Amino acid sequence: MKLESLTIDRTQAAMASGEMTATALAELYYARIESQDVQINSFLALSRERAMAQAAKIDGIAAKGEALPALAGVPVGIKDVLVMQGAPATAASLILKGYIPPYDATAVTKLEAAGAILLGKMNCDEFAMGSSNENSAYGLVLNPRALDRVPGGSSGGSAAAVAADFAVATLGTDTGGSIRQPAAFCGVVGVLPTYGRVSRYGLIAFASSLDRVGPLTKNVKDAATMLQVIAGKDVMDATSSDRPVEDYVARLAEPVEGLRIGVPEEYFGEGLDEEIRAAIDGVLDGLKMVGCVVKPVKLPHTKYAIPTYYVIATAEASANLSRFDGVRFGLRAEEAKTLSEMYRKTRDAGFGAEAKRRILLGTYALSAGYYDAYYRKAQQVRTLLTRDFLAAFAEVDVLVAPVTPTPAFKLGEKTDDPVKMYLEDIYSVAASLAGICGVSVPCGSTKDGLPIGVQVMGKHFDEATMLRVAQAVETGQRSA
Amino acid sequence: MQRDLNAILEHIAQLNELNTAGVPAMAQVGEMLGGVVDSTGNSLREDAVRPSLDRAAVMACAPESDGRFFKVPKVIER
Repeated sequence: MKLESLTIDRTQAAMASGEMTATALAELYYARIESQDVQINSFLALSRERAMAQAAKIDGIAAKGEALPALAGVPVGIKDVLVMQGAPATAASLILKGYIPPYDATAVTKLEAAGAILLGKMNCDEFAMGSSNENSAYGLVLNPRALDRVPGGSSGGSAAAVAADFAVATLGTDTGGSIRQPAAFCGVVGVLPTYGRVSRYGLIAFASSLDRVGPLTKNVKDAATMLQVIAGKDVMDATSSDRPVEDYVARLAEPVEGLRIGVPEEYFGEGLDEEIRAAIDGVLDGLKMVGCVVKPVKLPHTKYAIPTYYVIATAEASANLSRFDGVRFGLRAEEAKTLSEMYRKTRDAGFGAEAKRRILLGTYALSAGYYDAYYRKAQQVRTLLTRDFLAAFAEVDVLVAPVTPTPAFKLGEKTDDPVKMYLEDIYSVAASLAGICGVSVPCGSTKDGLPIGVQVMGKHFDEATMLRVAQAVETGQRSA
Repeated sequence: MQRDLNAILEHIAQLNELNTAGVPAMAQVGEMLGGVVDSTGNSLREDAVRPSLDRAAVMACAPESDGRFFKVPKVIER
């Protein structure tokens, strides 16, 4: 069996026909991970026992000839900010070293209930803070498409594992671009669902009003299948929406003819790599050929998205990360005589530089004298940014734009300058702030062979239309 | 660290170019969509007793515990 061409429906079909057992397939993936992930470093932990028990269960169902669920036997990886009972959860931070959570995130429970084999936990930036996976306390992840380059972040391990065929699909999380950007850098599909579409229960919180859970896959259809499984109301997450989940896979069959595609001019300004610009022009031409109506739109507050994001996300992070205090889980500094000394020493030893930077910044932005100038101001601009999208979506069905200003950059290239690193998120954070859905789809490569992604953004809760357009882009690539 | 924080704050100062007088502050996406949490309480879960995580399993995650309480270094200094 060629793992390169293994998609979700092919896996499921191979299980149903008896061509392959879930046990044998899981073994194949583990063998590949053990021989090749030494170099890539996409996994932080393997959950072999749980995976093999689930594989045996799937094989039992198949042997009886009973109907198999949508993800039967599909090997998946889980970003290590989502908890999985019995597997270490580190959030790629030293402060959670040794923590083995006693429960599953809702998205994890749902994947397993649908038949997926949970291979293990994926490397990422510490607490999902980063755009290059260089902030992990457990080592860099290499981009499987170009080993001297970053895989993107923060879901770098999740994207790299799909690109390197260490898993058929993975879960990532996206707070300001952390699914879409690594998907673009590694040449895979990555979906940011609408805020509220997928439960955040069991997600180690970074910025609660922005954090989302979504899939990374080899193609758009697999992304639709994964999303359909993990989406829906969860009593454990009050911000999850009770809107019914659509049949995203079935709706992929609907034609895209006549759909209105908006092209936000602010996303094509100075700083956009010329090869990415050309690739997206090609995508837009392709969409016109299949009958879409392409028109320019304006999102006038776009340039304020990054500063807004770095106030709101850090403010929420400073509140969320206060729970890591050496009392209930993870690391505790030894040799502390008093409680406050224990807190201080634990946090000093446990948090990496970027986490500290963001906690300090967020605490500052929320402090009494600065609250109105920073936090309240940013919340107001967040309203303006969201209104921009609502106005644009009154005229078009989806937006098409770049995911990133550049293709995957070199390891170490931006680590010295946080502002430069933050600007990497320039085309992804506005959708995060507005709560709309987005997807990164591969749309070619640079002359050096680096993957290029294009972003399709959809209205709140209109993943179905967004995925249809994404699939049209993908089909266009195949025929190009 | 100080240099980095100053550079970030300088970048954030761009927000002052915008006049936001009268613009409502947005804390959650739901506010813009008429509320994710229904104001009538329809989207809230039923207030019923449900099983929670096993206490022993939760306490076992702590660096120091006697099984009933989390233990910490002394809080009050004499």
